[in-house]
Amino acid sequence: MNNILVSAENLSKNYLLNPSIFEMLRLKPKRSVKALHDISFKLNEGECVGILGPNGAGKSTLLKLLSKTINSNSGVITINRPIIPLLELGAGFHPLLTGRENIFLNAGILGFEKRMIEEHIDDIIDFADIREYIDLPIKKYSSGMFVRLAFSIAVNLPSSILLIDEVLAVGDIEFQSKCIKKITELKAEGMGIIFVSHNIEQIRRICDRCILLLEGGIKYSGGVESSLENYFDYIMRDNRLNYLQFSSTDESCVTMRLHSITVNNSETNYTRIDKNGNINIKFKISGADRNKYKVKINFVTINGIEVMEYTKDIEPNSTMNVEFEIEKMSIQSGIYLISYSIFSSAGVQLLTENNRTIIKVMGDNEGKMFSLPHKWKI
Amino acid sequence: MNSLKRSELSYAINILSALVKKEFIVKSRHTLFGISIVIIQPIVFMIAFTFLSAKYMNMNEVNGIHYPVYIYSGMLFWSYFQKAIQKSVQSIETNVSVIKKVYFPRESIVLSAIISPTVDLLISFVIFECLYLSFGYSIGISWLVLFPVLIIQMVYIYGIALILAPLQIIFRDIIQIVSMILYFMVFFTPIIIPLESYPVSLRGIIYYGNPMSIFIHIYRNVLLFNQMPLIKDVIYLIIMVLIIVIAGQLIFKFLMKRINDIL
Repeated sequence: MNNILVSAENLSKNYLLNPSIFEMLRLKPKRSVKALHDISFKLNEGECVGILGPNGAGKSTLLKLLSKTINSNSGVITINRPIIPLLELGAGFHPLLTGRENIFLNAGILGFEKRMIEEHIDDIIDFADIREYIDLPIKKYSSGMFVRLAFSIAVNLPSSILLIDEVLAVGDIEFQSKCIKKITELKAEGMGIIFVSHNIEQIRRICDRCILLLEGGIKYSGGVESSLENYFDYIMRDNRLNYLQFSSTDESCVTMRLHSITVNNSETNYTRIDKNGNINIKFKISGADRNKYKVKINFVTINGIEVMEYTKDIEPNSTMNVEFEIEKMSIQSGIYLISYSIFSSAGVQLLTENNRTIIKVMGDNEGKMFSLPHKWKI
Repeated sequence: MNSLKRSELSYAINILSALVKKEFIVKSRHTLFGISIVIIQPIVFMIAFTFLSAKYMNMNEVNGIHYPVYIYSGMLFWSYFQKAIQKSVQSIETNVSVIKKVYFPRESIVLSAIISPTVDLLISFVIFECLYLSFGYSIGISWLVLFPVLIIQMVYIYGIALILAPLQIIFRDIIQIVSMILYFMVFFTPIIIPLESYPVSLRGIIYYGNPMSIFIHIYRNVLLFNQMPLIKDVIYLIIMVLIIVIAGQLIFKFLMKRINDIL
């Protein structure tokens, strides 16, 4: 047990900027960007390693290097077992071929024998759940069918290493949970998996440990929760979340402002809150003196899921101090984005400050998504 | 050791057969005639040539061979050369989506693009033989020598394509330039005009400067005149082809490493 499936040592990859032919043919190109530098890691049997990081951190480049579709500038990759890459959704299928023919093509260029593919083709079709459409040209498939077929080929052919790049995002919920179940089974059978995703829930469910990539280097490597913690810290520190503002051009509210926001009496946009601790938000609304209004506060997770929404009717007033408080933030630790908006009583959006405030709920994750106040009786 | 080698070979064969199969399916899908176009095309060519040469060109015989048969024996192999070069030079470009996704020896893409025109050639060849017999000629046993020569020609095409296919990714007009050169080369290869009709001063360069001239000369001599190829011609060809294919392999390896990034 615990055999090393993949080992990478000091991998570096440079991409040429605006490559001209002369630049490309030079042995030591000059103008280039570092996509990855000094990456070293190992993947063991039966282990799933998640790769975290913002866009452009080099996650996909790393997977391409491992799948050998691009070459590194320096460093050594040792891969001892058959590997199946699942990069860039659906690419590699020929649109004119039917699903069945594409299975043979795809598995064929992975080096599988025809007899071997025939042995597994029923599993592949059943897992993708597209038996009725398997003899239709791929170009008639929906994007979901595409992904299901691509994924199904990858997980149903015998191999030891699987590289998955953002693939699970497209399938529907039923298929996603099927995939996660399958991945767990494969892991138990000893397959090593490298998993790239922005979906933190999936990372939590599948991965055993994570690597955090930032600007082409390994920033952190370790347990899933501690890696996520590091990732969240990075997002908060560098103001990485986009802040959107919307204000209606309606005359009645051009002077309307939402300002002086404080969270737990601090004015910064980023606040840490202990799990089960309290959160107190104060802000001022000015220029809202014509009608009755509604104020809304929204809590959204980093994956864009709206978890909480609270609304309050307010009377017109030239300046108002609004205070909002939750005594016990018994929600999953992680990052939440808070948006504020003001609506007219008829429901027309007048002013929105999206992702205006970011809070990080600190603490362990035993309570999972929520832990609401509850009672037991036995 | 032996088993490892065998598994590597079967790995390569699996990839190649998957790619060749794809070529054939894609070629025949959404077409009027499907695969049978391969048979129809040479027949139409033949009819056109017979008609033209008899009525307007006043050329009925070359060295005692009917002109249409003479032309077609050269045209057959030239159009194969042309088709195979065009296909294989574009092979990397047309298969970008697969190349980006999975690693496999990239040479197999180039090779698979040559195999399907070769199968077409074999079909056209059978039709040519029928025509040849219908003109009242008889087939000698020496035509079996064509197959090893054909393999040398495939390697020649493979070598050229190894150099040009990655260049096609960098310069998208390589294929146009190649097509123009091929048109031009028709006049410097004894296909329509027999070698003896060229000025004496040009004959040497046309024959030894262009491997396709030697190939066509060999094919023709075997098919029409039942003459075995000269050993020195064959050795010359093998040396030329080896140089091209080795150079091609080196250039291909070098270019593909860089091209992977810009696909």
